[in-house]
Amino acid sequence: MHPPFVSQVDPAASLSTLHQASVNGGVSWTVAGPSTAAWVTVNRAIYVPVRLATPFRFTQFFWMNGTVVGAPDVDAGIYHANGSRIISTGLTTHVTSNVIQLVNVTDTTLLPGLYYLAIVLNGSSGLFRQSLGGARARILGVVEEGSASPLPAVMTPTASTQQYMPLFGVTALASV
Amino acid sequence: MSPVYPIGEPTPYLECFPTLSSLHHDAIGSEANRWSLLGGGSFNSAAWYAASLAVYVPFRLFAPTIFDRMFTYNGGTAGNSLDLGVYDSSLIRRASMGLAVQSGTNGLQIRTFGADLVLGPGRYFMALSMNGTTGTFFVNTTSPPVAGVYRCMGLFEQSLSGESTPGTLPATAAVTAYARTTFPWFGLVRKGFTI
Repeated sequence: MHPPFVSQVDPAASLSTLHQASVNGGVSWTVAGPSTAAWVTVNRAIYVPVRLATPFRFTQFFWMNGTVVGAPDVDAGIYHANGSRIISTGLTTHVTSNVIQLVNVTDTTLLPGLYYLAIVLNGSSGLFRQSLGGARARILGVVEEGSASPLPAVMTPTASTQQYMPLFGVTALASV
Repeated sequence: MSPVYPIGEPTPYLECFPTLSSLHHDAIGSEANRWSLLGGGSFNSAAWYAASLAVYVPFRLFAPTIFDRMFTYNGGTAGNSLDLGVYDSSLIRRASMGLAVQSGTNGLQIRTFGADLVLGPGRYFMALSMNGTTGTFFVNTTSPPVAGVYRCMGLFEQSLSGESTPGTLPATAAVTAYARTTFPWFGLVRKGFTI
């Protein structure tokens, strides 16, 4: 039985890399950022840890498109901490620059626990992201995987080599 | 002790992230962030503050957690020897690595505990010491606007020059007020997770 309250760090309407339920605290999103940037490496997935103290139901994934969008596709998903995929959008055409792009998925409820938000682009278009210095992503528990488009059924994480924290997540609402 | 839940299984608690560093919300990351002390994406490589000084950074756990590694983020120059450990809220050492030569520059130095460290929900300190001032670590770039901010956040320090092996983390910490204007980036890694 889970407690009938929402903890201080549980997300309200959406769960994203901006939240304290994710790596915020250590990421230091700044007024000067995030900014648009090309994807780190074609087909390289980034996995960002998130955690919940209470169940959270979501209906859509979203990401913040950068200035350059186009033919490359985006796949966003969420994984159990043990590496198994719960759900993903599947490859989705990357459309409309400088806006938040939403993709409906089957309604999904996450139970309290630890998860990884995942996203991959199979081209050189980009997202809004916070640039992280040095090994900051690694310190915060972010991992990555090459040749991971579309997102695999089971993630095979490797140490993060990127300094790219994409702005993306899931939401229970029709919009964000 | 509550049970330790298998990785990937739902827990009735707020679970620890795969890593738990001084930058994390469960340590002082959020507080430092709110004070704009993390300097965006920037950071500095800096020589250790003083020979045989230990730094204690508070953190909290909501769920039983197994850790098997600790890490430092070494700066541009490696030197001296460092020790890493964990203390409980009574300042009793729960585990430490022992002194070892600082190895590697501009990256993480990861060390493994001799035995898994199992911690229950509660308040703890992660500790880092070094027996000289040649070695460097990455630290945040921005100093607090007023003295004492880090003391308010719960950081402490201790001179270990009087230990039988100077620089070795003691069985019981005897902490003093934190006198530094930055804090080092280091932390713990949960068993079974990639860093």
